[in-house]
Amino acid sequence: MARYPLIGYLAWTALFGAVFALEGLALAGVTGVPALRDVFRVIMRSPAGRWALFALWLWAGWHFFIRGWHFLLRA
Amino acid sequence: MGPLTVLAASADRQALVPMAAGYLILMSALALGLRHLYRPPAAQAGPGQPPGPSPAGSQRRSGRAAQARQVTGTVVGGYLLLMAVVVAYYYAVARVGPGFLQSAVTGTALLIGLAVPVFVAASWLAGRLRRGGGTPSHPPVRDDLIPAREANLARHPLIGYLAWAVLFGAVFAWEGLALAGVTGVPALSDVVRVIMRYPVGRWALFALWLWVGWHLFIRRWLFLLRT
Repeated sequence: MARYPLIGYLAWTALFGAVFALEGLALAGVTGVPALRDVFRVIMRSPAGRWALFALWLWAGWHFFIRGWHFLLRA
Repeated sequence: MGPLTVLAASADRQALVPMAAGYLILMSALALGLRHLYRPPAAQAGPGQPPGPSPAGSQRRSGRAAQARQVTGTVVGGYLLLMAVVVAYYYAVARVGPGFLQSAVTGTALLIGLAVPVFVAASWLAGRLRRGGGTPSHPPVRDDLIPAREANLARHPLIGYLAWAVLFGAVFAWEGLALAGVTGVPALSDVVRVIMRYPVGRWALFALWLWVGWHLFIRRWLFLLRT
């Protein structure tokens, strides 16, 4: 596994922290801040948006959990 | 042009094309949805769309049938879109590994096969919990009520959606930098790999992935179909 400087991982932590912070503000009812759920709902209003989001979700699952394996663990 | 320059250009292309394409597709869908959401109500019912509910009894469908249709459409459309993107990436951007296409077709199908029973079980459990809590289960709803319910989406100022768009942009840009090989920038896969070193991390991440899928593509429709 490649080793990166800690700052690289910290940057990811900061990005995810920002996502959680914005979501927290939305859930706390701060005016004008939509929750992530609202953003996804707007995206999924159109069939194309639903397909794009489903494709992204499926790609993430394949990329993180399956890629590199063989179908049904075939040798 | 030296070999290192070619390598760097190739790495940039391999990294930036999918990141930029992914971000653009997602943001286009957001822009389209926002355009529809912020259109004046009079302009929302186009010539092909009925302005209100159709005559009673004419196009009644059960909530479950409407949901099944939505979910099936999303799964088939999303799967085909992903396959189109993967094939285009393979032939136009980078010919990664010999088993790449086979893994994409079969691996994603396997994931859908794994997710379906979990989603069915989660929906059944959610339905039971709701009934146990005294909330009535979903009564049949007319098909043409679904867009009307969607029109009731909360309308936030555009700046709020813009903040999310910028944040998504930062995530995609950071991932793009990592994939382009910028020193010291780990890709999201590297972060995930660190978490997945331990079985508990793998289970938690897979459960999170399943939950996100169920929440976005299944539960959302249960929510929308609820009276």
